[in-house]
Amino acid sequence: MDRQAFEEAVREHKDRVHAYAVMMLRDAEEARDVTQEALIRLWEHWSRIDADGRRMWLTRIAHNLCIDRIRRRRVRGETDLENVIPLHSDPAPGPGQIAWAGQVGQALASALSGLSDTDRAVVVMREMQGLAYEEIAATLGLPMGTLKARLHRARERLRERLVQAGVAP
Amino acid sequence: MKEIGTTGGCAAARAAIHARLDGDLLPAAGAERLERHLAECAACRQAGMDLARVQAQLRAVPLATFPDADLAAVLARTSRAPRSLAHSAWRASAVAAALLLAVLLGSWIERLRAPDPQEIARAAADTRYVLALAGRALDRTERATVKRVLSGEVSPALRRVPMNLPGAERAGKGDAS
Repeated sequence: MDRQAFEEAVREHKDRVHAYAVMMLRDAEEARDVTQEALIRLWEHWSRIDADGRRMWLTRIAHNLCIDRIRRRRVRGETDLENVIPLHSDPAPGPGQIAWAGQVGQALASALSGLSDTDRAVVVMREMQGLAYEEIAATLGLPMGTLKARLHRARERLRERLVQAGVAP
Repeated sequence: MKEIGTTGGCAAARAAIHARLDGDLLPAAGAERLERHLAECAACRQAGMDLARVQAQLRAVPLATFPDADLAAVLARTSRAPRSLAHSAWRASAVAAALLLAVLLGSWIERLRAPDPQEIARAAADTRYVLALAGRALDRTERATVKRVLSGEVSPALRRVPMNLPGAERAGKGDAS
C-alpha cells in the first residue's frame, strides 16, 4: 500500500468530490460526510482501482452516496432545500461566492433543485465540473444519446425557471 | 428531424444550438442554415442567447472546497492499512461458523436438560387417554365377534381361533374325545 500515493490522490480529488456532493445535496454537513465516506472507500478499495480510473470511481461512489441520502430525505418526508441554502456552502465564502448569494445565484440554485436527480447530476458534472461526456455516461450508466438529451432538456428547464423567476439569464 | 429553414424547423435549430453548446462542430452547411434561421426567427435567437448565458452562469458558480479539518479526519481514519477483502470474507465465515455452533450446542443442551415434571404429567395423561380409547375399541370388537360366532356367521377359519366363548371349552373337549 503506497500511503503517499493515496494522500496525493485524496488531495487531487477531494474538492471536486466535495463540490459535487454540495451541488447534489445542498447541505454542507451531509456533503462533508459523503466526501469523507467516498475517500475512505477509496482507501479500502485502493488496490483494486487503477490510477486512471480513480476519478470516475470516486464520482460514481459520491453520486451513489448522494442519491442514497436524497432518497432517505424523501422517505422521511423532508422537502428539498431550495431557496434556503446558496450554491456555495463554505463557512467562510470568498468574494466570488458572496456574489453568488445574490439574486441570480439564488434563482439558479432554485432552478437546479427543480431538476430530477439524474438531470442535476448531468448538469453538475458537465457544466460545472467540465467532465467529458464519455466519463459522465460511464459514471451514470447512460447511453450517450440519452445523456445529451438529458443535458439539453435540463438547460431548457433552467432557462425557463430563470425567466419565470424574473431573472433574465 | 426537420431541416433548419428560414421560416420553420425551430426544433432542428434548437438541437443545433445545443450541439454547439456541447462543443460539437456543425457541418458548414448546417451552421449556415442555423445562422439563416436565427437571423429570421426571434424566438430561437433569444433562446440561443439565453441558453448560452445559462451555460456561462453555471460555469461561473464557485465550487466549494473540502475543509482542512475534514481532510485531516479522512487521513486519520485511513492511517491503518485497509482490511483486505479476503480478511473480511474469513471473518464473515468465522462468524457464520460460530453462529451455527451456538445453534447446535443450544439444541444439544436442550436435549440434555432435565425433564420438566409438568411435561411428564401431561405425557402420562395423554398416554392413559390413548390406552383407554384402545381398550374400549378392543372391547367393542371382541363383543361383536362373539356375537357373530354365536349366531353362526363366522368363517370356518375363525373357528380355529382360540376364543374364550361360553361352553367352548367343553365343546372342544367333547370333539377331541
